[in-house]
Amino acid sequence: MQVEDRHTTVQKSMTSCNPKEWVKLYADDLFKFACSKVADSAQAQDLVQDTFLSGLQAMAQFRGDSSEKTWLMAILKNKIIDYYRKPAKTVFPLDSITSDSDPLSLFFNEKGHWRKEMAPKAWTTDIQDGIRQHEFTRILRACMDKLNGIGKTLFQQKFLEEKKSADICKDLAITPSNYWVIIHRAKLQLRACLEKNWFSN
Amino acid sequence: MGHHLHTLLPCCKEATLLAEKQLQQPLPLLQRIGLQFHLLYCFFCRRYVKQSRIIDQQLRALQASEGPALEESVKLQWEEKIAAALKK
Repeated sequence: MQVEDRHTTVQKSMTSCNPKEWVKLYADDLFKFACSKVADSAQAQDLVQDTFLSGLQAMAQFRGDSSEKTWLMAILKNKIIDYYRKPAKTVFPLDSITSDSDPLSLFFNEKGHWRKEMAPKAWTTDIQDGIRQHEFTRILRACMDKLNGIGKTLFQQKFLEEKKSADICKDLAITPSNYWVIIHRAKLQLRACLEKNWFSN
Repeated sequence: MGHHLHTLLPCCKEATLLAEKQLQQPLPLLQRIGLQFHLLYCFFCRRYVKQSRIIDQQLRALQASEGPALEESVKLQWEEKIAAALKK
């Protein structure tokens, strides 16, 4: 009798929503997915919460064509896209990238040569060994967080999402040459940050 | 980018940009020659290219490594929020 009951609830949840079970069933997977996309866990949490709340509002439109999980995942993906679109368009107008002052002058002199104090130093510490790898990853995350907005966004999409550069350019409405200018600058900043926080001590 | 821009004689600023592109896609022949030539005599950029590649590998590994787990208290909060919304 009990087995039968359970069977019917499963059947029912295939075609209709069961929000009371959402957190238990899907929160971990949604959160994991969000983390892989935004790399800031607090932000990932907000995105998942928004997903549940939007899901509640849109419940009537759920037809059961896809599984509940697929449906929630689709909502989450849209939230993530919105999350990346907002800062790219509002906080970082393109003229801040192409402005006259050269943001790379911190690294290179007017002839385009490395400034002595910023020139790459030899990395002597071996990252590959276990404990150090863990510590390195921690510093890498911290340095990623320090990058300015657009650089961080591009880096996350390029490496954490393995997104094609053409798609990134399209989504963020930037030209390929701006893309490379931003990636180049972000890499220089990231490398300098790693060197300062990891390899120098 | 300035007057020193010359495909076959890139400065460090240009060479590091070319190197960044090359990590993702093949460069056109002239740019590739320019970069290789620069790296022949530029010790710092050789080092930079090597380190830049390590950074890329580590960033890719970041994705593979597991993210932080969701706390139970957060889940409880969510469940309460959903229950409250359902009552309305």
